[in-house]
Amino acid sequence: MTETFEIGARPRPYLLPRLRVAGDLLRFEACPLRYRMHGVGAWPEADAEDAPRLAGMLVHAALDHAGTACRPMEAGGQGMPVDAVVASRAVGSGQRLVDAVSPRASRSVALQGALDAAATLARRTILILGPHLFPYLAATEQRVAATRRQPDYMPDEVGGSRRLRKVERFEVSGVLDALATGLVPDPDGDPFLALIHGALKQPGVVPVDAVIDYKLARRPRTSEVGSRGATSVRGELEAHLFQVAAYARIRDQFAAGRARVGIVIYLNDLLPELDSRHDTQSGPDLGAERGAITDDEWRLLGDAPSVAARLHRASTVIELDDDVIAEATARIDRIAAAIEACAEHEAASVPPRLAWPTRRSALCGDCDVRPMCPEWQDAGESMPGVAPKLGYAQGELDDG
Amino acid sequence: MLRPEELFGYLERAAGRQSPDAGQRAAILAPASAGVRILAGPGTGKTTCIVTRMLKLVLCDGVPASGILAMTFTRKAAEEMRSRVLGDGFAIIDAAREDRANSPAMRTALGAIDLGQVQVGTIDSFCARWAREGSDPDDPFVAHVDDAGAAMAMEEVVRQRLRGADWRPAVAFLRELHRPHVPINQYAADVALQAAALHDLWRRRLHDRVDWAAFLAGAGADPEASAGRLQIHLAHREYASLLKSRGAMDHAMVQEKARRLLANPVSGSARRPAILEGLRALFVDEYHDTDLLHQAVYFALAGAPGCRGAITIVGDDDQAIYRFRGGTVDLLADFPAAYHNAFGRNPETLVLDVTYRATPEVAAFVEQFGSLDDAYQAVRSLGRKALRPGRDVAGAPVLGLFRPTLPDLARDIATLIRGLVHHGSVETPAGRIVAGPGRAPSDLALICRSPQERDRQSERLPAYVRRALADGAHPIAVWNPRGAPTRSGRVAALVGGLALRLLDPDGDAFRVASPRLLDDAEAVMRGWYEDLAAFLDGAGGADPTRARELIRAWDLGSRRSHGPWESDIPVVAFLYELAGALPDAVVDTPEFAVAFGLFLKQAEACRWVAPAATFIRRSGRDLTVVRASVVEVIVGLLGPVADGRRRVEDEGPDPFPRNRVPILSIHQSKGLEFPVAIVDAGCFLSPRTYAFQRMPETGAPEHRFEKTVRPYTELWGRVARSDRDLACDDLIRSQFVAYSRARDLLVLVGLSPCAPDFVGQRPVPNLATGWMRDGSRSWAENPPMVML
Repeated sequence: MTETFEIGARPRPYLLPRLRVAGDLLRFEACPLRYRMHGVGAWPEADAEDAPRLAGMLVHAALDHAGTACRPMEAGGQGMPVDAVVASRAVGSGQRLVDAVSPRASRSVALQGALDAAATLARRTILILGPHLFPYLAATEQRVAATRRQPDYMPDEVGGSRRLRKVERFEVSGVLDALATGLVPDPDGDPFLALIHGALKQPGVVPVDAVIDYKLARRPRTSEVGSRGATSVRGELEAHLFQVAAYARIRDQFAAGRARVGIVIYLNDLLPELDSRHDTQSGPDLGAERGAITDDEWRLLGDAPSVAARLHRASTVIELDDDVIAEATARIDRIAAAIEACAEHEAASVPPRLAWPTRRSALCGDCDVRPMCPEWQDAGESMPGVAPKLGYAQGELDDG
Repeated sequence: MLRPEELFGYLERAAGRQSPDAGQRAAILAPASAGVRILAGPGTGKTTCIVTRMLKLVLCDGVPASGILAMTFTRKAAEEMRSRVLGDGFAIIDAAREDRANSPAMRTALGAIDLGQVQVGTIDSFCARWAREGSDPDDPFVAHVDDAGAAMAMEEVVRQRLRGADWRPAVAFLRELHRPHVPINQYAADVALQAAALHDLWRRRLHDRVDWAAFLAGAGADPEASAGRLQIHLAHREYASLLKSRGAMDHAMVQEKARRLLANPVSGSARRPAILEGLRALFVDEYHDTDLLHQAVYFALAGAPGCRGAITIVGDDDQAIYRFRGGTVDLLADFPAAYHNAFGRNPETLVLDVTYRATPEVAAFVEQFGSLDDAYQAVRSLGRKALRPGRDVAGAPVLGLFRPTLPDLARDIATLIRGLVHHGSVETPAGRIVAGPGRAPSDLALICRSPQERDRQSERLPAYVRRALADGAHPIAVWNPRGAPTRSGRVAALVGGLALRLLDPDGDAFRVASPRLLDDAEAVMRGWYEDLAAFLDGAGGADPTRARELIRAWDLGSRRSHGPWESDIPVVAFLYELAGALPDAVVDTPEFAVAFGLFLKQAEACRWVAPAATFIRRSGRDLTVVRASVVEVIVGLLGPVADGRRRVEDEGPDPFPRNRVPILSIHQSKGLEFPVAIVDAGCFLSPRTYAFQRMPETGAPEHRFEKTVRPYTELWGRVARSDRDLACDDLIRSQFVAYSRARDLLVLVGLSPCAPDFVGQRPVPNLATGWMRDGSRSWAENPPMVML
């Protein structure tokens, strides 16, 4: 009788998905295929040389440097006063970081001009914002990470009803720009405290922690909707708020207490006098719905608006209550499952351009891989114009 | 905290892992503060062992998760280890928290443990982080150039040196080490060869921590030799200056900077790497491939105040195959002495000898192969035990498939693969081999010393197997990213050809660039031109419509589908536009991602080593500027792809495409396992050729480099082996790695004269098939395999 020997199947490598809030979750949401190319495949982005990304990197690094130097000694900082020397060193630090990504020798004149402008913005932001914010900082550029159970369903949005592969968990992480602690809401106090007081349903006098995210952008406005549509603009705002809520949720897994407030600061709105566009904007403003100052109102403030007015215009504050956190958590799980579903599809020998859906949006105008995109490749129609840069794509994509 | 037995219980029940065996338990349970050397044969569960020891330190001994640091050599290994820490660890924590037998206080304490704080990564990534942390706030940030980028910088230095008068002694020195068989005039004219040798010596200088002053003085009274060493010293200095001027460092420089910061921390300084504060236990995987610089980094870390020698290393001297990168197995063997010198006590040595990967038949074969050559036994680590099978179900015997010609051999390999993939079984003299459910072509791997499909003269086995599998009614594709002729393949030809067609339609810039192109790049690029022309004419069946549209649009100053080009076009954007003009049938293949990735990686490297090639200067400028820009793009971007300097890396994607049969080099296969491993055991017809691949008669360049610098390193004085012995040892090790990749079925394949039982007139001596270096044959009478 012939002996029989059985050969097994090759087990898949045991790898838990590692997802970053900005670098993976939000990029996937914006367009799964684009995320597959740049995020998973590590294909470089042609706009890596572009002004917005590098300027964002410069400004974030400068704020990190200044925040670390000037935050209180007991928070691990050096406790220096915010002054021109600190600001100058901080900007130098940001410039050196940018030099490491984009050598000066390979920069265009336009790019260099944009980086010079970003250096000015960073310097002035530190001087204006620093004295009010830095004393509350407990950490800057802080990496937070958590693991979550992998949902075992495949989301409808990528089709099918297969179960996901059996990795039990995924890791989700992010780098929050700043964590402020000990903020006592006070309508008549420091501008930050007033800002928080105004955003809380029941402010009280108990100190709160705040997760802060800087965006080198203006707050998305319906006045700029154009071809993008209000849904797109609102989605962008929601993505920014989701980001701070997600950081708070991730940090919550092991931190002693949850941050109660999330703050997004749109730096270009903090210093609109540096932004040549601000004089030409008009129309309804989504920010106004949240109590921010419109362009028209801004003009009335004259040449030297107060810090409170600047912050009022530039910040969006969200109370991180249970509902917000639950919503952010569900969104994290949903996107993680969708990413895994696409990866599974590709693992079954489906080409990436078919396994990862495309998402047609105003962002397509900025997409490097659009020449290869099935959505556009042979469409024979014009592409949308260049969309405003998303804040989350600036300076944070290597957060982990 | 948990007791170890509870940990093992949860590990089995909640994480689905096998309970550790006696050897693994001993390693896991060694005291937290101990130095531990684990000698672990293939498939003996070293990853499980390391991960469980880490979890034991955190969950049983109360070591903070942030105090655990584990270092591996590859990203893939790091990712897998980290996944296991999180996956197994949180499964254990969750189960323990749900277990009402545990006290509420313990459950709460376990819930607060953040295993995400455990740090796992490659030595490259960690050193980059520490070097960055240790920089003064006013220091410029530095970018890290990869090996191909570093090679380009070194070539720049060599070109500069060649213009001087004194470079000849250096050429003679490098040639003697590197390619003594190449005529001196030919070597002296080859920039790429000299740069490669210079770069190898640079890496050895740093990785072997060479006493450079002694090396320079080491030529004694020989003026020619002294002049050669001095020239090399000057060239190295120029290389370092060149990178510095561009804000860049190579891997070796980054690691050396990290070592300095770790070994000489300034107390209380911001430049003191933060890891030194909280480190409690260090783990190092694959210690058999470590080098003196790496070891210095490890010992500096292990000397941190909270760590004090708590280092666990894992290695297997039989699997040391990275000598050519400076790795030396001597450091694994000498670890106890080095540890004692550093920490004043002895480490424990523990052995994992039960292999769970392979069937008893494969395990026995691997063990027998490793024990065959008498001279080899002298360099195996002391205390090593014979591998014992951990799987108790008998498997198929090892098979031998040797045929007179490569076409015959490839045909029969294809028959075997087809039978298992399409029919689910094959009949052999040993019995019926049945592939279980869920089988896929990627379950079978062809492992070769080199996966190259052709050498300068002819095609090699991988090419024949590719064709044989493609024939017939049910073709099976192979996945051979390193061995396929990528630079002259279809994707590269279309991308490169389109780039040349758009940028330089008349070939003017190409003529200017040609003298600066290395090796056969010019011929390869001419091939691109021709392949593109054929494609545009509709040859090959692929649709050229998009490519024609792209060419028309370019001539009008526009992209294919939308908008005008900017005047300075980033080459990355240009490359994406080219890719978008290719047919779907080309773009939607795994080969596209590999070949197109080479162009993208080179575009990134250009920022540091060829900044003028990062933009294409287009219209509105002086025509000479435009043409000069195109020349730079041809030389800096396309050249390294065409001449093969920009090549596919060892660490490719895994999982492989499920519908392809992977063809891998032994180095690519390291750390992987396959249900069926088909291993090239020798495709040689003559006992006069290719001795270095089967029965070395002398050493290879890596052995000569090692011998040259070793007198000026800490390892000087160790009992030296001859170059030939080193080469034979290395060959046995790499074949050991290849054979031990098999899980259920191992098939040795080759040409008939290499068969272990060949009885013809001219058998080919071959260490892979039972020969020993003294010329005797062990397997001639009774080969430990069933011959097909």
